[in-house]
Amino acid sequence: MFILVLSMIVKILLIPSYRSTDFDVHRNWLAITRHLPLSTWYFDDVGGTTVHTLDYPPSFAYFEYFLSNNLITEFLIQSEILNERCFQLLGDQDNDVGMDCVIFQRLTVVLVGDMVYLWGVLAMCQAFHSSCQNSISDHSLEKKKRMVESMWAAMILAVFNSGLILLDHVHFQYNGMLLGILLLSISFVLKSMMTLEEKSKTSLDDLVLASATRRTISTTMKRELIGSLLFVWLVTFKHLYMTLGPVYLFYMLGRVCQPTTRAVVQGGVGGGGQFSNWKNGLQFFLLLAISVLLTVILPFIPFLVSDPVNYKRQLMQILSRLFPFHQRGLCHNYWAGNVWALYMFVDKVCKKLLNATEYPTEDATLFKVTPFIAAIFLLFAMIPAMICSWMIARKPMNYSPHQHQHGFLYCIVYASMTSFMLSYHVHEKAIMTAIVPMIFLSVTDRTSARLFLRMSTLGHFGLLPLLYKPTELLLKILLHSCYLVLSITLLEKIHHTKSLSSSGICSILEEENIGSTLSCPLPVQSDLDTGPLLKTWDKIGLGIMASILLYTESLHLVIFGHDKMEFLPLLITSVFCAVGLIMCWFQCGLVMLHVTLKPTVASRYEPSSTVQESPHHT
Amino acid sequence: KIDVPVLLTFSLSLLLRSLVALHPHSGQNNHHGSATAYGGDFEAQRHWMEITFHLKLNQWYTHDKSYWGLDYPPLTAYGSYALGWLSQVFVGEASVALHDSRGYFMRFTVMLLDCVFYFPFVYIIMKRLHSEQGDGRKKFMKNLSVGILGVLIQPSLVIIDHGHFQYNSVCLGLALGSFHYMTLDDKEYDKGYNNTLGKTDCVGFNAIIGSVLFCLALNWKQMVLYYSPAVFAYLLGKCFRSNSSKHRSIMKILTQVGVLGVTVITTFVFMWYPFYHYRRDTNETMLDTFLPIIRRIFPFSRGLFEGKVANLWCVASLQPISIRKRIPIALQPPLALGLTLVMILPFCILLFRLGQLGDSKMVDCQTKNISSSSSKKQNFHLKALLWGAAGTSISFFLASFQVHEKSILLPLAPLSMMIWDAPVLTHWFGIVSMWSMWHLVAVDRLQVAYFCCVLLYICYIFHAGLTNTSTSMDSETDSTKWKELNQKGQKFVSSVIIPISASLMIMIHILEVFITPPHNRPDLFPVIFVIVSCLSFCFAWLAFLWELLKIYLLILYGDSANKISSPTLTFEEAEIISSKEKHE
Repeated sequence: MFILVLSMIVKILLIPSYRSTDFDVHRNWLAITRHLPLSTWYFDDVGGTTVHTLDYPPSFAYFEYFLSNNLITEFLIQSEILNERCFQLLGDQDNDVGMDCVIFQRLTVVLVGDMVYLWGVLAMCQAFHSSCQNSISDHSLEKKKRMVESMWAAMILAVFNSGLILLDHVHFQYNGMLLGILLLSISFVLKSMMTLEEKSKTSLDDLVLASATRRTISTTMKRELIGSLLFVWLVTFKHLYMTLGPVYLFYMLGRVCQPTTRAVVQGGVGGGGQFSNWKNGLQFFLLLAISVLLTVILPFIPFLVSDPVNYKRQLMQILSRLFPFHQRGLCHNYWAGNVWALYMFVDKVCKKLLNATEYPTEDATLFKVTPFIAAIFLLFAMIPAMICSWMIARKPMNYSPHQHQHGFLYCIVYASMTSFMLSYHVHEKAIMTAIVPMIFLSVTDRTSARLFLRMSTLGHFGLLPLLYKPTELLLKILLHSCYLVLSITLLEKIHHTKSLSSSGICSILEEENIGSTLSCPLPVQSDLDTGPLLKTWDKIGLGIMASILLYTESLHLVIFGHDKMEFLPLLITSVFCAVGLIMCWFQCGLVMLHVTLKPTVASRYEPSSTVQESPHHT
Repeated sequence: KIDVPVLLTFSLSLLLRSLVALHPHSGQNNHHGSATAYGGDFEAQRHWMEITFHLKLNQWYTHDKSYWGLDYPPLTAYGSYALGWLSQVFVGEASVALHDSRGYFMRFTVMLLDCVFYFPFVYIIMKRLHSEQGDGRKKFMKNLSVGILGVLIQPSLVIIDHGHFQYNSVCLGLALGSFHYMTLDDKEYDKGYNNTLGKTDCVGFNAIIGSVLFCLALNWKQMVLYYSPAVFAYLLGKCFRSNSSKHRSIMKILTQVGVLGVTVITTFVFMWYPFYHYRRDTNETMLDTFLPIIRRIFPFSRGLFEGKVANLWCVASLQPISIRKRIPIALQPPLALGLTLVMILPFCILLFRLGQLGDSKMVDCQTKNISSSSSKKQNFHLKALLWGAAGTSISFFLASFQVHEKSILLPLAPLSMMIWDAPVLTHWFGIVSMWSMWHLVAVDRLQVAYFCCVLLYICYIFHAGLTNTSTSMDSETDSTKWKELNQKGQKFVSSVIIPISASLMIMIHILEVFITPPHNRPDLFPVIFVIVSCLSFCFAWLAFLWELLKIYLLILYGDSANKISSPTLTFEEAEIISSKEKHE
């Protein structure tokens, strides 16, 4: 509650801050959905005067329709609190609207967007929380307290995420809502893993088992179904999330094909269980496939029906709006810090070096990356995530559910990192898709915490150039640094108390854990539970970041003046972010593989946020 | 070395400031006022930068007085000059095209000065006040940063400085710094004297630094004058302090007073001489140069009060009494002065006595080699001085001539340092003072920021969970009767007065939204605001006096344990009894 009020205060205070063109985009969409018939939504561009055309999938259009055509909005317009002009179709030349409109739209973000986001965050916390509660056989108070503490920390970090605040409440977008839906969907999948766990716990009596198994399996399925449907629904909100699809797809496939769903539980009894299980799996798969397809198609139907003669044209129009490959280049105006940014940088350097006279030409000197090539790279890079999610789904369930949950979350994070790295025309905002799920991992162990710190710092740093006005300069820097300091303090606190409280049996246990992790070939895990969160390299990175910030914001003006070499600060920023984030990406991939493939330790190793489940205790 | 929690506190409070800074400043886009006079305090400050940067020193106070002429003391003028220079470097020639970033630059300067002058002194004082509680270092830092956060997010200061736009934090920070230095006893210096000459020079180096800082604050904004009786009384008391009764010589007292006087005069000369040096006419006397400036700084011609201020005069001028019309204008200033003097007198006397007392304490401590308790005593002195400053400034606010609503920041600043000693009173006063400025804020269209800041502060109050536990004081007092009385008083305050005033404040806010005042009384609500806040401030005056008295008595009680060792205390003992009787 306290957090809620605080975050509301911050967001309401941000109302008069700078708005990007995205504000006009959303305002225009409101106008389109308010005044025009459905069939023309995707065609309208106010007589060619605006570039703010509808280019999100249909569900988002419905959402805008809902915003512009509900009772409250009507009431506000009727009572003239809100000016009618807010909902008029305006060209780009003449789209200044009053403060009332700004407040209205900002409040929609605060109320609708953040509520959904908060719901998602709560659901995630709950998923983690209840899984922990289930797995601890002895509810020792201290452990419980610690767990609750770490959940609180995750919540604070999620709610006050500076990148999200900058994007939604300053820059103006509805990322919070979309991420909220994503989190909800993830939380459902995570909960489904938990019921698997429940099942294996309750397997004591064969008679009880049969009914219990059926019940838990059905709840598992239900949750999985809801999770994947939510995800698909999210894709119809914003198609950028499509790149997470493979993870979901392979996870579900793995679940369907899991050979020993019951065999493990029932031991020898489940001899005949194989077949029924396979049948069950097929049923589940069919159900899943049909409902997923329906969810995808359903939002498009009104558009197709509205123009029955020429439905093909309608569809093509929507698709061309959704995927405007021919209009856009490999990188966004502000280069997102990804692989292509580095590539472009190398390209530019080559151009300079080879031939200065050819400079004005648009074509790259290195070979030109088309959307197709980018997609192939993306698919290749996605393969580890697919494999991991497949393996996680197929893992027998005598593993702890944390194992599953962490693996799945890492898959999600890795997949979104990959799409951020390799997709065509990526916005720097896409990094949020990786950072937000990472928050929940960061409270679990030090390695994740460190990874999260790096990722969020660099990712948010990449967002800073979005707010280019001097008015927001101090604000964005302060938000960024506050969030950085806050996350360091919180994470240090969580992981510190953990190491403090580990005395007696626990410490022996932890030593064992460390020893076992040390024996792992992967180096990333070797510093588990030791050392400060920020290493020397991170500190150097922070130093570089600060100096880049100093350069871009003040020194550059002093050296070059207002209109020379404008792109240079952006270039430096994005190249720096690219290098850092690519390192994070690799690290993330390694950790993902590690968590998934950990062969022997897995049964004993529990990511340390949750509590050590040890033979001594159980 | 500043730890992470403190850093977090500083950056969070800076964040709050930059958030508030997004909201409109006073007179933005000419929201109020006529077309001829643009803006408010923001434009004034901006204009002063122009004046000081472009004009010669002798024209600063005389240039076009009708358009936001400079009417703050010289240090503000020098500050404006420096800021104007900075703005020249960073923003370039101020032009209409750059107005946006220029506005931003102005905001930035406030934050910068806040960081330089206000934050460090708050940190120093809070650390000193907090050091008595000997917890582990980590917990200590955490508590400290929670306290500092409470001081730094005081809604009134944030809104007025960063929303409305003023540079109050500079003079407040300087004044707080001066309190800090004045109450420090320079031990080394004292010891040296003790050993060689057998006498103590109580007014040492620290006191001199303190008074220099205070003069600087005074030269930044004349409002700081409200503190001066407290400071004067305390320092005078310190001058009269004697090592033991034998050495109480008039010569020594005179030298000490002289040292302080010379310090003050030198500082003032440094501040003011440039105006004489660059005088327009070589024939001009000092008086000719300074008098117009002084007139500008102290505008007695403006009347008893301005607008709707929550002070006694404004309340007394309401319809049935309408004191302003009945008393002749010539008589008003002396009357105001008289009342103010009466109100500040108890504070001054107590502070004077305290300043005098401190010494015997020092001797006791030195003889017993209890350094910790000596630092504690110093903290008592600091606390006493803070209470005293709060008390005198609120007396000025209530009773003096030509008060502005924003002057309530003056009692608030020292009071907010007492967040551990009297949390309930501090929080309550912080909110009341903000509330009393509601209409000022509404004119600037800062309502959103107002509600957000107040809500934030309330969140802080409930989350920080600072309750009324001035245990360190109560535990030392032996008298149970005294304890009971104190507890009763606190209970009364927290259970009766605060709920009543809180509900009143909320109710009036709600009523103002729903009820339109009758036509013949258009300013019904401002008047209600004035009455309620005036009553609250009167109560606060009493509370400050009570707290100061408490510290005074405490020091006397502390003496009672050691009274055998110090012969001078016989006189004071009599006073204990008398004051005790007074209480009961």
